[in-house]
Amino acid sequence: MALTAVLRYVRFSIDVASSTRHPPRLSDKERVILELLSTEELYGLELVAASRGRLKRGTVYVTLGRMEQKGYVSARSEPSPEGAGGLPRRMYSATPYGIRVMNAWSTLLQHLSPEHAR
Amino acid sequence: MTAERIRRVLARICSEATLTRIVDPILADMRWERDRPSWLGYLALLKALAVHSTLSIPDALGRAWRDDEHAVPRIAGLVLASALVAAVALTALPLTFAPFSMKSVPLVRLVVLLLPQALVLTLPAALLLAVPVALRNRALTRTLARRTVAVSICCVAATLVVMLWMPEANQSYRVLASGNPSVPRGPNEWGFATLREQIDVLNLTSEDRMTPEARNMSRRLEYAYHVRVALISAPIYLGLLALGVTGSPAGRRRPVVAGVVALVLYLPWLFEISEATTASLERFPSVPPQVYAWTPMLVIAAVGLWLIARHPPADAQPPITEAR
Repeated sequence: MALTAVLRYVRFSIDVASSTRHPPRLSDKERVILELLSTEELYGLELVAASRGRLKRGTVYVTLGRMEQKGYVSARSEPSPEGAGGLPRRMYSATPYGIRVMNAWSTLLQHLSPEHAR
Repeated sequence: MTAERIRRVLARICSEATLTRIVDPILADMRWERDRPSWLGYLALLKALAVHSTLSIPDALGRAWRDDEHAVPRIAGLVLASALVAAVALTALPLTFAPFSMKSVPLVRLVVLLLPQALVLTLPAALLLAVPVALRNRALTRTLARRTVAVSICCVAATLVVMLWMPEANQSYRVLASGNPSVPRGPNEWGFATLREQIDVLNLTSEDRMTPEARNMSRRLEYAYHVRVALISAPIYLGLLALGVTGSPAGRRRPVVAGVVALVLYLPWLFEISEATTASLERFPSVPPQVYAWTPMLVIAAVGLWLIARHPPADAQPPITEAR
């Protein structure tokens, strides 16, 4: 009986924690990616090259996958050129929602930064 | 060619989403890199998969917790509850015959000191009852079976902790029972390292010069050592048996009865085996003690795997789609 009560309480706590809505967050890497994708459609390695060392090849795809899940970026498979085999490249672009989050985040950071840094 | 082979291997391990979002883009982009060695691409793939797996742990744990109407926490909770109840019941017997000198010791303390040696038996055995009961009225899918094995592995860790605690708890109980703080430790009160050391000391004497008593002692200690290791890993074999029982027609019809029957058969069987082994160790000196220690566990695993093979877990139901 006591065990059932404990399990119910743990379940309730998890449900409450997962149902609480947080405003969208943006990490530094996600911001860099959105900045780069806001102007043009790029694939993973192009993003790494364009970031000038701010993005690493081993983590950019994981970050892109998570951003896709959050709805910040969208992806499409680029058709392979004639006669070329293998997997198609995955091209990424920022979604309108992603751009809104980036703009809101930039404004927030600007407002929260100390006076001398503005 | 290598990329295709790697993708084929990863397709067996990774989810569809991981393949689409991580593996495929990296392998596809590698084709456009002419000026860098391809091993750098594979290294990036490895790193990406490692980062992705680490970041996915909370999600995976959350899914395991929620899915199938909280089947996994139910198994874990039932294992804990039934193991504790059975362990307390097992400790009742020695407490009934506790010497008069211990009457002044608080009962809770005595139970706590006796619990470890009971828990090493009841914690793995509890899976036999918990799994069929927790999964009743539920289709046994491959995912659920994998998660049950994961719970069994957690039980292995818990049994290891209890097993490491057991010698000290036993010794404390003996000190209380005898009233002598310097009562010498017996084999059950030695830790793994001491037990191994004693076996090695006995085995230093060459086989032809060893007395029969020393040989028997060495074999008994070797048996005790391997039984402990086998008991630590027992949750895996008993978890397999529990899955087999759950998937069997009897387990599906009457899961509680099937679980209770499996549990009731297992514990006396284990005690019987232990008794028979003690006698056989001296009677058949050519049979290595390891065989005696591991055979019961291997028999349990074999029965479990046989039952699972007869009634294998089903694939998860595909989502309902519109009729064409």
